[in-house]
Amino acid sequence: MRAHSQAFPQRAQVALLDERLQAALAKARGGFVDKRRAALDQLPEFEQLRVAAREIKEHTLSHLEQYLLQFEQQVELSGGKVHWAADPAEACEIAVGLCRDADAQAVTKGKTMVGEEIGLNEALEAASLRVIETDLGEYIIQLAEEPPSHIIAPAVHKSRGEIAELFQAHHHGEEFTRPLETVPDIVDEARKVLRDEFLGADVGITGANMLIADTGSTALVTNEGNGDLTASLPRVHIVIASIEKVVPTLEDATVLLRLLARSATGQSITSYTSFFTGPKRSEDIGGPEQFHVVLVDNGRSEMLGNAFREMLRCIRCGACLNHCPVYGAVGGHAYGWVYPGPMGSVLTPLMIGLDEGHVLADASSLCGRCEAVCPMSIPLPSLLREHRLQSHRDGLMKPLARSMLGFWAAIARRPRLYRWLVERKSRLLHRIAGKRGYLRHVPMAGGWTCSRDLPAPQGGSFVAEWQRRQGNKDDNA
Amino acid sequence: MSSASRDRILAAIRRSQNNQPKAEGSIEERLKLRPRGPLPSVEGELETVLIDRLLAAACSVAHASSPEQIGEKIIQWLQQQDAGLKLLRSSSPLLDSIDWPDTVEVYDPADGVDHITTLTEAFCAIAETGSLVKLSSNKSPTAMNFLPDNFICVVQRERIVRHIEDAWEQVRAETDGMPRALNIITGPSRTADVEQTIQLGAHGPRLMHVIIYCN
Repeated sequence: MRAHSQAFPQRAQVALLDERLQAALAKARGGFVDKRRAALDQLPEFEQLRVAAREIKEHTLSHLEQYLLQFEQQVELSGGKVHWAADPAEACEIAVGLCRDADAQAVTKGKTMVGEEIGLNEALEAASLRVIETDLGEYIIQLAEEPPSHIIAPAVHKSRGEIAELFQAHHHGEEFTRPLETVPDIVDEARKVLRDEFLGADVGITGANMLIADTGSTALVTNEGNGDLTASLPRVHIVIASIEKVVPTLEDATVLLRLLARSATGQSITSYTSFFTGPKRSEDIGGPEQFHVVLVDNGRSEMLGNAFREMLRCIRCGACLNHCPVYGAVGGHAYGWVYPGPMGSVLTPLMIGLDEGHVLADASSLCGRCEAVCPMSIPLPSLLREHRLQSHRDGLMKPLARSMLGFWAAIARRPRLYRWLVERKSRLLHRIAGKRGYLRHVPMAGGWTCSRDLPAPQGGSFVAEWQRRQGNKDDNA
Repeated sequence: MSSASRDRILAAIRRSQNNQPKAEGSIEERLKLRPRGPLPSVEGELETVLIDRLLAAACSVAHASSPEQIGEKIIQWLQQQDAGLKLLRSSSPLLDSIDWPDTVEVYDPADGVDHITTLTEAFCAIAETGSLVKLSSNKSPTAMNFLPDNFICVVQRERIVRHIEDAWEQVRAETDGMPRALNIITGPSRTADVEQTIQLGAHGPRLMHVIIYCN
């Protein structure tokens, strides 16, 4: 998928004025936050689990090569095959090749964010395969020809009415005529349409929430059961997973599972948590004849050794999106690529390049809510700051912003001059504001004052006040 | 192509690992000891906790104390749902020992798995999460857990474990490695993809009925 991250400021503007989007975001926001809170209140061990989860990931990352080799060995012992892809092009080539080898016509897909990252659907379609997304949210955005706007709820930006319109346009005719008024109507119609796709597919492609090195299993967490139908009915099951998804044992996976669903949807566990190990055994009835795992690097091996290593702990729960004031205001599409919100603003520049994606690091007030709710304790604000630092170093900042920042830094490093200027400015603003006490317009800060007034300084500076009080204290002593 | 990439990726990982502080803990030890993380407290009798959480996950629950009673309870439940007395049954010593009256049509998975109602036996149940654990086998294809509208699952009372980790121990003790598919199932299929409204029966079962068997 082509990235539009550079246009974040313009896209955010459009999003803020989009009434339908704002209504959908308002509906989603509270729900996710409240449900997570309620789930955590039921689990006093959450903080302990968080510490344990971090330790598991750090241990695994520091032995990543060995655990990936162990995983590969176990997959092959159970009759499956592991493929290694350095970049998106190679990953797509492998997946298309596997479909061709299987003489496939139709492919069903479970939700996979790595699949989005590598542009898998486009590659499969370019190879003349019929591709159907089976997660309801993904199916909706496939019909709408849009990217996901949330990593857990891909169609969170769509209202019921918009979904009904899409279904009418795509399914209605001879077979489906019922009006789509309620949520059950919509879900039922999708169920009927997709049932035939599940039964007719030659290849099923799913993602993986985790890879278990000890057993060579891939873990998949869903609520709809679409991932399991995708994995179980077709002749060939392909799993696309990025290399940091590996954990040592089922016990380790269990710790992460206890955090994942609670952080994502506020459930203690999702309806289905499934572990796939190899293809069907020779005596089994049903199940795929082939089992392939495509391991995708796409820059992760490099992240492992640089300042962004901690991002590799991410389990894609979406809690940072749900708690981000910027995401909550503009939604996922403004970010212009696959991963939105704080985790996306860290990952996107690493994957599409800092020159294309650096503006996302500025799409944050660094309020720190994302880090506070992250079940894997990823210091997202620090990582965003690291991007800002690097883009400043690489000269990616706009010349005006850069020179203003340089000007400010030059003064800030001269405390006396700085204080003198600040005092002058405060007094000036105080005088202009007069009795009103606030300013409607401030030169060069129109963006700030267009939606609110600037409270005027009350005269004097913090440092002067501090010194006065310290002096008083000394007198009293 | 893939093997060259394999070498390249592994070399890059090694390079990055060398850049980082020395790793702690050994792989061999972790894979051998399989340490457990913090366990959420599960207080009270396992069966009571399980039933509470099954109900919270939108399952219905019944009890049976003989194979005949399992059959009766299933017929009763199907009639309550206005569903036909027709079911696809996976094979297990317990389920095979049920004598069905002539009014019930019972099918075998070898003859096709797409049915409105399926009946299977769980490997075990997990009290912590209110889940049933299903293993794929030559007697119980995975699709039976996902294709029907009505999913009926029997679990023997002595096979209720406390935590997810206890289920892993049981799998290791009783099977020859992981099966092709291991499903931890917690309630019927659901989605919240349309306006965050939870709707049961997305692609999988609309209803899940659990029968706890105690001889």
